[in-house]
Amino acid sequence: MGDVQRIFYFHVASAWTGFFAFFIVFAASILFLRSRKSLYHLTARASAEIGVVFTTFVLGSGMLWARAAWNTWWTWDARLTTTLIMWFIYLGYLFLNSAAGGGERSLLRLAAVYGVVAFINVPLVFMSIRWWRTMHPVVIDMEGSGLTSRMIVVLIYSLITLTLLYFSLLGYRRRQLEQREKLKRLRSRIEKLR
Amino acid sequence: MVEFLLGAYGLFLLLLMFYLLGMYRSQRQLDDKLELLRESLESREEES
Repeated sequence: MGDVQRIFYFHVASAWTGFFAFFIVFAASILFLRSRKSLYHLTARASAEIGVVFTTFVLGSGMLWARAAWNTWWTWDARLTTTLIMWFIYLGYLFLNSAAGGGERSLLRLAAVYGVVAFINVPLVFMSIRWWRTMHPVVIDMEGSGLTSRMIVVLIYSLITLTLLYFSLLGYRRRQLEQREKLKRLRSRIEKLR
Repeated sequence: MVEFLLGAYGLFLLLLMFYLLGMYRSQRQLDDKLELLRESLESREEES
């Protein structure tokens, strides 16, 4: 495949990071529903944003790779289609979460329920290449990976690097959202004093 | 084939840059709002 094969390291690592980000949305949404602490709702929101960014890259890099390998930018293959649906679902989650930004409790709860239910799509995307006949290759299965040891080392390096990038972005964004919430609360308290 | 690889790297950097720029813009807006709040509090203190 030549140089284009190197897209693999970014493509797979970004897909993993996207899945992981959506798992954090799922876990944080459950914690929010149980405890109603805004920390969890903000974590879910920040994680969904980052997950959507990484999934956008997965779709874009996948299209570039498909053009080189399959001579087409897009095909309605099970893996590609489920990934696109997942992307739209989490985009919807972000819109809903923005609408809930006003602090309305019922909307926040609705967004959290959406965050839990939306996660159903993630294992579906992961398993799509195993359940249905698709053009997308299965890289790692029960029999092994079919990758050389050098490729595995680079892949693991990419996985660790992008996961660390995810955590640092999550930390910054969550803190920013917390500051926004605090500022909003402070303003409403001052308004009440007037 | 190398152009597809460079395209993918470029796309990754572009998306990351847009996200970071969005965060930067958001932070600037927060700072502006905080500054406005501080000014309004100061003027209220002076009035009282």
